[in-house]
Amino acid sequence: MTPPFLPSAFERTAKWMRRGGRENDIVLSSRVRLARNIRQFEFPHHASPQELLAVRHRAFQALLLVAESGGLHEARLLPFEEFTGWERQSLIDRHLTSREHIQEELARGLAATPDAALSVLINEEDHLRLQSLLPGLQLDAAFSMVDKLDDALEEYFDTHGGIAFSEEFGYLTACPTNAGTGIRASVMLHMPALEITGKIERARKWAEGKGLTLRGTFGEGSKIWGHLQQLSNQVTLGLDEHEILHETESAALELCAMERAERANLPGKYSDDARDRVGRAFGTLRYARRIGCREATECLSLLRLAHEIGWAKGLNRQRFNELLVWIRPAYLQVMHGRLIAAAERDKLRCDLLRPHIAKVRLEAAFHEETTAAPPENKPEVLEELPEMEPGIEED
Amino acid sequence: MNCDSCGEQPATILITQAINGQTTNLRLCEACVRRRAADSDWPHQFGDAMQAPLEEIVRELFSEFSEREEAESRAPGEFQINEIFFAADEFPGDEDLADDMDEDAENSESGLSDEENALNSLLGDTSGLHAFFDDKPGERREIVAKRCPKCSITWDRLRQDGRAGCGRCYETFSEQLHEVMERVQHAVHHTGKRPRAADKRRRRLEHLRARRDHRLEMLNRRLEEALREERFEEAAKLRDQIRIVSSTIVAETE
Repeated sequence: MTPPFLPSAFERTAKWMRRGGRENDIVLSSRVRLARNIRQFEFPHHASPQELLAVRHRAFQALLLVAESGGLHEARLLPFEEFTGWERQSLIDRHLTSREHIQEELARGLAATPDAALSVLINEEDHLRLQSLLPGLQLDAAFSMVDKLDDALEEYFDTHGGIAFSEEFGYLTACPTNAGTGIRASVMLHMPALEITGKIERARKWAEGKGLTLRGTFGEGSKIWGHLQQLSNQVTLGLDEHEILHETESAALELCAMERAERANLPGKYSDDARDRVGRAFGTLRYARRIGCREATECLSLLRLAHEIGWAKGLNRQRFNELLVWIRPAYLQVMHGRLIAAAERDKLRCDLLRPHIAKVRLEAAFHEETTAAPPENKPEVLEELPEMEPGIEED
Repeated sequence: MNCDSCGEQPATILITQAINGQTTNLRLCEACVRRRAADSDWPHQFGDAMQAPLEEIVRELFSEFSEREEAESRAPGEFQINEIFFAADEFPGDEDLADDMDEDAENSESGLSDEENALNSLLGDTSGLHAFFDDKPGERREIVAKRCPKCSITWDRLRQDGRAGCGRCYETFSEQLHEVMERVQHAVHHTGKRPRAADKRRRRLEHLRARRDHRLEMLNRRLEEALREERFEEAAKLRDQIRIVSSTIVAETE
């Protein structure tokens, strides 16, 4: 029997990378997560190994029984012990789980559909974390998926240890800041224009004022990669699920409006800066032979922005989403099926990107110098640039 | 004041020992206490000596020590630990303490004895007091800090970690959590989804309680009637039945 291989459990293009949802020019994905615990056991960070194993065993048992009725079709049950560190790391790259979850050695696991739209994290911070991950802005649809799975699982656990719930504090979670509904609604927002125009801090403050928070690309405490930030609710107690979803969604719409306003400003007010950044990003991706993950992500982000504001053409949104994941170090190694040193990874990353970037063309709008641009700044070289490219690419 | 053992770290634990009426203070830092625990036969019921709650370690380590000493010298009370204090910050040294005491004595308008003043200046705030031992030899008072009966963590540990140990903690520390929730959440009562199975169970429970109450009421009425009509044999039977029904506890089972 061949050893288990994590990528074979998943489709290369996850559900969230595909077309769907609303506000796709800015919103990449919507995620809803429900935290649930089994009353009988202590929370994972405090539980004994036996308890952790019992939790996972029961979770897998429950999922075998209710996966279909809960919407977890063709569920893959993945105990983490079976996979290498890099394979587990690739789950983070796919936005499926967190660093804390994969770092623990014992009794952690994951159950997910092949398209990763619906998954259950086992023994992360809580015993069970049900999450759905869908493209674009569609928190309600994401919630109804986890809600259905939650109902199915609850029925099982009512006779197998009970779900930790109190009349006062609602669903009980390891971290008291999640107690109550145990819900976390997150929206992945692509906000490069706010970054270029330096208004991102204002947006962050605004969100905080609304009782929401902007987190890094890979969840709590992570850095921001490629201008991707997660907007999520902080309040979990005192409001019901639909109020929380509604608040998060309307804030996401507001942030989209802010980002669009800034995008409209780019050709005029921030012409030089924006064109410089986009041009450099394109040049780097097009001609680099070695590129690190961070640089590639930043460049892809700017190129995506160029597509959205009509400065470039050639790649669709799905391809951008895919590339953002496929270039990640862990994912790259996992897809090649071997350990690869950083230098070679940087080369392979370029090999992966080049055929896609070759399809990108800068549009006339990018070369047009609008409004207050100095007249002598209209060199013919820029006009020729697109025609030069295919020749160079031939080698 | 630095740790008496390593002399490097600030001391945060004060152990007062009374030997033959002479009091000695032992000041230790957390690292040294844990090291001692690791070197000794630390009972692993609270986990690794490096991670176990500090007051557990101190309690185990030094109470055991005192018992052993007593047994060896065969003179109970000769060696005893009077008090163990934990401080959030460094403890003042003996000299500092003496200074403080002098000052306190000068400004002694509060009506507190010197001893109390010393204690107060030592602790600053009594909330730093976690554990102490009874002054009766061989006996030990309960740890002051409240613990979750299921996972045995304290409120301080919960607050430090930002995580509860188990679902029961929410019940144990409900007051403190209430305050926290008031600060960080929208409201302190859950309004969203609830487990439906739990609802069903609750309804069943209410139904059972109502039925029991109804039955009791009926039996009481019949008992009164029987007594009024002087049917004592029946009354005795009814009283037995009432005793059985009223002792039935209808409660949620874990």
